[in-house]
Amino acid sequence: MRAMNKFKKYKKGTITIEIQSLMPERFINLLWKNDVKVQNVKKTSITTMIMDLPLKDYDVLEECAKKTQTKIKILKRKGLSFFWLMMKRRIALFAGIVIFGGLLYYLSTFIWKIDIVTDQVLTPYEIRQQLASYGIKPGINKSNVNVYEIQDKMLKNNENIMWIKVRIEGSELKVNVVQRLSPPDIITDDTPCNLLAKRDGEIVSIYTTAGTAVVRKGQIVKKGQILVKGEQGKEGAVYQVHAKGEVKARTYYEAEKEVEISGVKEKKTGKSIKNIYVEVKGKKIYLKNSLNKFSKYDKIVNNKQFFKTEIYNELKEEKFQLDSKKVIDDTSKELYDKITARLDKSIKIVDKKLDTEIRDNKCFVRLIVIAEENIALPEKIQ
Amino acid sequence: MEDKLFRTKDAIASKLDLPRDILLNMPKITVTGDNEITIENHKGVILFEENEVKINSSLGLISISGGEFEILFMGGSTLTLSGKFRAIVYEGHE
Repeated sequence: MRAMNKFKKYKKGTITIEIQSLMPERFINLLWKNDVKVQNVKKTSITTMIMDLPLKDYDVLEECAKKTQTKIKILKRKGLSFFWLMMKRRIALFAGIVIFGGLLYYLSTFIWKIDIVTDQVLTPYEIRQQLASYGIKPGINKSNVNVYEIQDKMLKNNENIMWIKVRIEGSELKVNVVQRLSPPDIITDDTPCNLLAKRDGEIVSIYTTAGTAVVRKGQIVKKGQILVKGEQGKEGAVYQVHAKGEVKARTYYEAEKEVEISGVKEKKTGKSIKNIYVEVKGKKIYLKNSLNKFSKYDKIVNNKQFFKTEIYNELKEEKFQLDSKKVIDDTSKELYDKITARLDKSIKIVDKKLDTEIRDNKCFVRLIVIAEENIALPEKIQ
Repeated sequence: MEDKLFRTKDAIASKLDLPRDILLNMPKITVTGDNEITIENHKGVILFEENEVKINSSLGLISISGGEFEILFMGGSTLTLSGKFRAIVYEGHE
């Protein structure tokens, strides 16, 4: 009976068998009497037959075979039952497939990346921080994310956001932000003030939008002098204003340099002596001492360390004579570069004047750069 | 006596329009062309040869001669046989 139960559970399996018996008909009749549904019975020779029968009747088949002395050979197996039997043997593979699918599905219910698209000044970092403050971080379950609620919150709590779209796309949270651009605040300075001269110069042009000009074109002004007074109105009914305007003046920048054209120059010959000594109570104890035979020399003393050194470098006098024209050219160029390097971009260079003088063996070079610039500088009226 | 019973049954069956095959315990044989035969109420296969198949029934043996025989289905009381038939003979009346 137990053997019967063994095959009963396989409802969807069919086996093709080949039987060998002296009387195959007897075997078929026996099967039929035992209520086995036999199909596709074919005779291949006098003693052998091929037939299909359900797997669940295998035990009956075995019994019948024993009774009729029939040899059975299974040729084919088909049906879902055999698939399950095979699966039983490969339980790990099957479980792996199921776990893989399950895990993939499970992980797809989370948000793994937040993609933020912003424009101009609003930084994705800022948005990310704000999202994080609502608990929206990579790794959050999708069911905890209500995109419309986030949109409303973001819009309400960040005044820089004009429009925001938050959507879940796969395992990604896409955030599109359009920034609100508020018009710039105009800083109005209405405190009364005068315009003073930033530096000395000759007025070229003057133009005011507020205040009264007190200097004229062509006038030489000193640094600190009032150019535009912060007053307006008729005589006797004067009121103070914030003076505004542009005062263009010709300014002067000056630099000079003195260059020796001819003379004697000392030059190192390359020969040197090095003495080493130790100083004890003001007395020098030489460890290495060479006689100084040089007529002209440089002495370098290094007494910082315990072993102190004296280095004598031999010098030689050499006469030199430079071309004065070349010296003037080079020097003027150097001076010009020196002046212009410090000038503001808004300053326009108009002219330059070179003044040279050769006296004795020296050359004096003086360069004046004439520029035009706005020298007005506002200053509060006390 | 048996003959009388049979006749009575037959009469009832025809009068009441009941299926005669069941009431009279006779095989119902359906033949499709020359290649398929279905026998209900059969009593087993007696012979299954290369060119002859003999099936037992309440009428006696039904012998089918031909070739390429194959029992397509055999279960319960139904048997379906295919092949190339030449003759179907009721041997029980000989």
